[in-house]
Parts: sequence; C-alpha cells; structure tokens
Amino acid sequence: MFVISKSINRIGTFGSNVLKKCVFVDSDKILSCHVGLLKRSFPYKTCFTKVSDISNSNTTSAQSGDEQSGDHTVKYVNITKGNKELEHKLKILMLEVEVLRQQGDLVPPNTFFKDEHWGHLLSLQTRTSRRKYLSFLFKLSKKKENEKAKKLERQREKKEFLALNPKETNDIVSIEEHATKYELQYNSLFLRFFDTKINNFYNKKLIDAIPFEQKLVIDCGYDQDMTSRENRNCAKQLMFLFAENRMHSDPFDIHYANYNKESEIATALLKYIPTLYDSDFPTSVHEKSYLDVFPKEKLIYLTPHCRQEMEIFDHDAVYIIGGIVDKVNNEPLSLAKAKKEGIKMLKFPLDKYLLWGAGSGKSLTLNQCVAILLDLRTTGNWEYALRHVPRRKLLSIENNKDISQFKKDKTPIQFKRQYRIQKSNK
Amino acid sequence: MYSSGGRHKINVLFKLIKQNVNYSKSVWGAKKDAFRDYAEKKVDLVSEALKVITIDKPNDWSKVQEFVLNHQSNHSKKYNLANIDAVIMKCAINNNHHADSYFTYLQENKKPNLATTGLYLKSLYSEKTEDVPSERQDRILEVCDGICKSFPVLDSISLESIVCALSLTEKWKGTIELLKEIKLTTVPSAQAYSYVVSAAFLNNHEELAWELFIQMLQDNRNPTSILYDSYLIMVKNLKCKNKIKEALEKLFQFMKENSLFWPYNVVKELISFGNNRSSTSTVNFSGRCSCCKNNLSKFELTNEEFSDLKKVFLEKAIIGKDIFRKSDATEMEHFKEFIKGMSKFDVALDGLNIAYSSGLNKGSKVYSNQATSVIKYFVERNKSILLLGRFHMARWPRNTWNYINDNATVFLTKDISQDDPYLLYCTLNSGPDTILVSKDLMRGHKFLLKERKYKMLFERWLSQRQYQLLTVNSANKPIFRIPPQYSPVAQKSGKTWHIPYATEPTQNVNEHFQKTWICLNLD
Repeated sequence: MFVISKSINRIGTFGSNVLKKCVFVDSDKILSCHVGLLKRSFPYKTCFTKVSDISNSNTTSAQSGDEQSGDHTVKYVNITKGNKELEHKLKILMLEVEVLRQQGDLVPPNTFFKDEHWGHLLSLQTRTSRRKYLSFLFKLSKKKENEKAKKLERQREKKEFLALNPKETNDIVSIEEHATKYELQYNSLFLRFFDTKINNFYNKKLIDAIPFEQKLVIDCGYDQDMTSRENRNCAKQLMFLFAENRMHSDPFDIHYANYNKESEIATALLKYIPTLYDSDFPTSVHEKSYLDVFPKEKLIYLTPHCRQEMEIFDHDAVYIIGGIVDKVNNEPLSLAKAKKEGIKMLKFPLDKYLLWGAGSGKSLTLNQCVAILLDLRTTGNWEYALRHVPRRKLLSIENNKDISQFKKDKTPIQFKRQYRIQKSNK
Repeated sequence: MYSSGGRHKINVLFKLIKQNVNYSKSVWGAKKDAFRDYAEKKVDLVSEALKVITIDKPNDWSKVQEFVLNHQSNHSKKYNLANIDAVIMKCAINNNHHADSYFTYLQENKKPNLATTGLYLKSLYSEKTEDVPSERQDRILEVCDGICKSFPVLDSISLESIVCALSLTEKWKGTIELLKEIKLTTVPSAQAYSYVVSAAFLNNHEELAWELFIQMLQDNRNPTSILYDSYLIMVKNLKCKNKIKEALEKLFQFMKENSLFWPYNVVKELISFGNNRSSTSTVNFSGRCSCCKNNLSKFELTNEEFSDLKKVFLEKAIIGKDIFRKSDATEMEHFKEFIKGMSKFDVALDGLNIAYSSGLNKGSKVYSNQATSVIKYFVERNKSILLLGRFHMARWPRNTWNYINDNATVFLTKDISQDDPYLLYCTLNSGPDTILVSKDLMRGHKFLLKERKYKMLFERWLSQRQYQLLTVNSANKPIFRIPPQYSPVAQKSGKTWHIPYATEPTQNVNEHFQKTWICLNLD
C-alpha cells in the first residue's frame, strides 16, 4: 500500500516534471539536471545512452592502462615489507607451489594469486596446511572461471537475440509519445524504486530504532581466538545479521562492542559493509567493552555452554551475543568471559522445543541467533521463533508423527507481548 | 499441508520419475559405463596407459603422454601439460627400469621439471639394498648437482628427496645442512629424518645419529623401518659378540625410554641376532610370554617424573590459557585448599562418568544406584574412596546421596565447570598407587600436555591404573575392565629381552593390550 499511495501523491506534479526534463534531453544537458527525478519518470536506458557512452569510454581507457602496468610478476616488497628472511621464505614457498602444481596437486594458476594469498601462505606453518589452502584457492579460481564463462555465454545469447529481434531505433522519444503511452518505463502509475531507495528506507528504520528500541550487543572481542578463515566467516555472518535485523518489522539497535578496528574480523567486515564507520551509519561501533556502555545488571550473555535456559524474553535486558565462529576450537570462550565478568548467562531452550537429528551439531550462526531473538521479541512464541533453526538439523519428516506426539505435552509458555506480527500475517 | 488427494498425486509422480530414471539408465548405461570406470571407480589413468602400451624404446613414452592427455575421461583437464611429466613419473617409479628410461626420454626431448626430477630421485633411493652400487651413487650425485645448479633456493618437497638420496652416498654429511633448510618452511618428514639418521649409523657417526634421533622424536616424527634396519646392519659389522650385545641393548634401552615399537617388517632380521630360543611370541593378559614362559613386568614412573607430570598437568590441562574456560578462580582456590588437606586415597571415582555409563536420560535414581554399587564394591575391600562430580549430583535421592557422602570423600565442582581435569589432578596428587575409575580415555587432556615426553608419561601412568566400568550386573555388582599387569615397552627379564612390535597396518586389530612381542635371547 505504501508504494501506491506515495506515487498517487506524486502524480499531480508528474506531468510538469516530464515537460521540463524533455527540454533538457533535447539540449543535451542531462548530466547537469536533477538526475534523481529523471530516473524516476523516464525510461532509464533511453535517457542515459549518452552518459553511458561517456562512462564506457572512460572505463576502457582505464582498463588499457591497467594492462600496460599490470604484469603478473609478484612484488616481494609488497608482501614481505622489506624483511629479508620473509623474502627468502617466500621464494621457497613459490617454488613449493610450482612443484605441487607439477606433481598434479590442486593449485590455481599463477595469475590468480594476489598479494594477500601469498601473505596467508607465509603465515601457515606446515606443508599440509598450505596444501589445503591451495586446494581451496584452486576451487575458488575454478568457480570464478566458470562464472566468467557463463557471463560470456549470456552476453553472446543476448547479442544473438538482439540481432534476431532488432530494437526500435529512436532512442529519444518525443514528449507527446512519452506522456500518452501508458506502460512501464513510460507514463506509469508505478514509480521505479532503486536499491539506494530501499537501502535508505531500511536504514531509516534503524535510525528510528536507536532512541526507542531495545539494544543488542555483539561482542567482537574474540578475533584472537579464531583462525583467519573463521574470522572471515564471522564477518560474513555479521553482515547477514545486520541485513536481517534491518529488514525485520521491529529491529534491534545493534552495538558492536570490543571492536578493534585493526583486527582481522574488522577488516573483513569493512569489505562487506564499506560505510560502516560513516557517522550517519545506523549502528554503533564501540572500541570499549559493553561493561562501559551499559549498566551491568541489565546485561545478559547468551552462550550455549551454560546450563540455564532462557524462558521468557526480557524486554528490558541488553542481550549480548558472542561474535565467535568455532569450527576449530570448541572451548567455551563466551562462557569463560561471562563468568569472569560476572554477567548473567542464558541459553536458548533448543532441547525443550525441538527434536534434534543425529549428526550435525546444535550450533547456530550469528544471523540465525538474531533472527530467533527478533521473532521472539515480537511474538513471544518460541516455536515460531525457532523456525530459523535449519530444518536439516532436526529429525526428518518421515518421523513427523513421532514429533507431533512428542510435542503434545509441551505446551508453549505465555509471554508478555503476543501479537504484532500476527496482524501483518493477516 | 497436502490433502490426501494431493499426496496420492505426488506418489504417482514419484513412480513416474522412478520409471523414467530406470529407462534412461538402460539407454545411456552402455555409453556411460566406459566413462564411469575412470570417473567413479577412480581407475588411475596413467597405470591404465602403462598396461595398454608396452615400452620398448624411449619414444614410446610420447604415446603414453598422448594417451593420457587425449583420453575421454580427461575432459576436465586434470592432467595437462604442466603436470603430465611428474604424474607419469609417479607411476613409473614402481618399476625402476621404467623410471630410468622415462627420465632419459625426458632429458632427450625437453628438460625434466623439478617435481619430476625429485620423483626420479625417489626411484633411486627407495630400492632397499645393503650396499648402494657405485653407479647408482654417481647417478644420484649427478642429478642432485644438476638441481642445485639450476635453482638458487629449493622447496621442502625437493629438498626431502635430495636429503633421502644424498644420505645413500658419501656426501651424506651435507644433508644435515639441508635439514635445517627444510625447517625454515616445515617440519622434515619422518622419512627424511630416518634416512639421515641411518646414514649416520652406517657411517659410524654414532653420536651424531643419536642426537638426530632424539631431535626427530622431539619433532613428533616416528622412525621408519629403514632406521632400525640400518642399525642392525651397523651392529652386524661389529663382529665382536659382546659389542653386538652392548649395541643392541643400547637401542632397546632407548626404545624403552621413549615407548617405541619395533616395525613389523624388520622382525626377522632382529630375531636372527638371538639364539635358537628367540622368536616372535604372544603375551597373554597376565603378562606371560608364550615363548620363554617368563612374566613381563610393569614400569612405574620415577618420583621425579611423577612430580614433573603433576606440575605440567596443573599448568597446561587445568589452568591453560584462561582458568575461566574450565573452572573459575574462586573454585581453583577452593580446590587448592582441598588438595592441601587431602589424605591419600586408594581409589578415585569419576562420579558422573560412572553414573552415566548405563546411558543418558535414565533418571537420577539409576545414576545414583550405579555410583553406590561401585562405592559398595570398594568399601567391601576396605579402600578409601574419593569421588569427584558436579553440584547437581547433590540433588540425587536423599538416601543414596547420604550413603555416598558417608563412605567417600566428595569434591564437587560447579555445574558449568569441568570435573575431569580436577579428577586427574587429585589422582596424581594422591600418589602413584591410586586407582582411577572412569571410562573416559582422557585423550583431550593428554593432547593439552603438548610435549611428547609428558604425553608418554601420562599415557604410561593412566594405562596402568585406570579401571573402566563396563556394566553393573543384576546383583548390583560392578564389572570392570582391569588394566594389564605389564607395560607395553621394551624390557629385560633375566637374560631375555622382550620388545613389542607393531602389527601390520592392514591388520585392524582392536585390542586393549599389547599382544605381539619379540622374545630375544642374546646368549
């Protein structure tokens, strides 16, 4: 409904806008005029042919410049930063990679390697770990290769299609034609929404959340206890978590605590969310601990290793989730931290509401945890909230009967707030 | 949800799909079979090529290369121009004659690459003979020189082949420098170490050899059979009978100290040193040798080793990086006080392990009954008992919990702390004679000790005094798996030596005590 009502409000001024813009189009002044308005009312492609021409020529010149300078010899200094010992080691490792390739191991082509790959290889202590990493890189290079081939194929198909069905040639339609044609991309009731618009809409929700909604803390202080791969995975999960949170009807106000900007996880997260440190970005990043930001008695650490299960969602508490991906190290790190700092600990009642299948463990990703918390907060219904637990981890459908029988004697507990989402469901 | 009608339709659909699959299988089956041979069963394409093409003259190798590169199952280009040389060499070294002819073929047509040369060296050193013929030595030196000239630095894979090959020649001393070069990027392999050590033994540099041997064990590399083999060759050359005996005993003593096992493929050579009463034998549970009818004995840790182990265990397995991961600081203080006032116990029980040994989800009544029956068993034998567990055990039924408290000293940790490390420390602290009752093999705690020496001591200590509760029978009597009364290490009883040897890797035997031994009489 939101979409339509806004566009109806606009429709009064719509005609005059079109008139103005068309004058600009005729006099080749697109670049300087109100691009935002133009985008909304005009067929995107017809208007911007000239702009894209210019930008195309720009990129091609940049590419040719790259090709001249970019040959694939590795610059040792970039990786080793002038350390002679490291440089010697790097030379050995490069030869080792070559020998492994000659032996028929899975090794990506030399053109694929970037400085960071060599840097990571230098940090690995044993040959086995290096071989594993190389085979990982090999698979990555193959994936990229296939993606590229598919893209080329699609481009070729499109060209063939266009050759068979030639497009109408007049790029710039006359004002009369544009105004009288009722169609998408022409004079239409529906506004075109762009990604940035949606992005701003979601971010606005988060800005509203900052003063009014409940706080949620992500503890990013575990980067030293994770391997670099775990760090990267964790950063990715933090990105998903951010997206999932802002898409929800009642988002949390998320605070990243113990956040060290130099750490591996921070650099990886900054790649996923480049605007993270901007002052208008709607999350708070704290380098200090959550203990310095929030009152201690309100804090509750969510850790799977403790014994006490969470029963009722506390709308006054500040929940903390530990930013850990523990694929290698299974030590109870978040439990130890909460114990040390004397914070109350709780865990999700996973065994109480779900029947788990054998095999994969009961670990959840960070974004799943936040999704569960979000749904629990709005509905107060554990069974609804726990739908975010991956189904493959539960007993399969063949045993469905047993599950339903088993669940009968588990009556859901009554919670404080119980609707809100049900309204939108209708 | 599907309605019943919908479900029926789906079933019909599934059947149709199944029939279709069967149909397509029969049509495509014949074509795909040839493919599947290579792709799914993982038939090695190169060994297949060597079967099809007989090699008479060096140029036949180009046929092999073409066969592999253009084969239909190589459509993914797994074998390509970059790796084809070494891949074929890998297969060719199973036959020394093939390796030679392939290498000359490569030298004539193009320069063989580094990996191929390394593999060729492997064909030169892997064939085991007592004396390496001088032609082969010259060939090795020639190839190694060639590599060293064309590459200023070398990687660990090629270096390991060079080290192994050079150790067979008179230039074996240079390999020690090369080992250091390998250590820059990785830990040298067990094979490379073993070759260098055996070269040092064969060239009568005993001190150097033992030094390297110890270094090798510190790097967690277990010696391969060639090391033992060449030691025996060295011993044979001594000729004087007393010296032979002395040298052998030195090795056995070293094996005893480091818990080493004799390799299965050098057993015959070792037995030939003993007199006619020596042979392989089996030892039964009570430690009786089937060959000489003597009993094997048990080796205790010395007091020094024992206190060392205790100290290291506290540091690494309980405290670790952060005491809060397993326990917390106040609990640790509490525990230290408990240790100070602790008297010696005969038995230490892992309360929760015993309770849960009949399975989880049984209810606290079953748990407490398990524990009480085990305690009863030891009380009847007048043993003093220590029981470790967690706080939630105190909520067990009142009468059984009271019985446990009356008859045993109890130490409980918090519900979110680990009790195993505390149990192990208490048992260690209680003295070398205390028995530990737990089914847990404590491998995780052993791993935390990191150093080979302490891991070995821990294993030796635990394996000799751990009772494992199997079941509690209907008469409430516990049944234990009791540790054997001897240690699986090389040992001397009277004039005979008993040396445990590893069974062949193909034999997958699941035993909880060492059965295969060599009974060696050196008189």
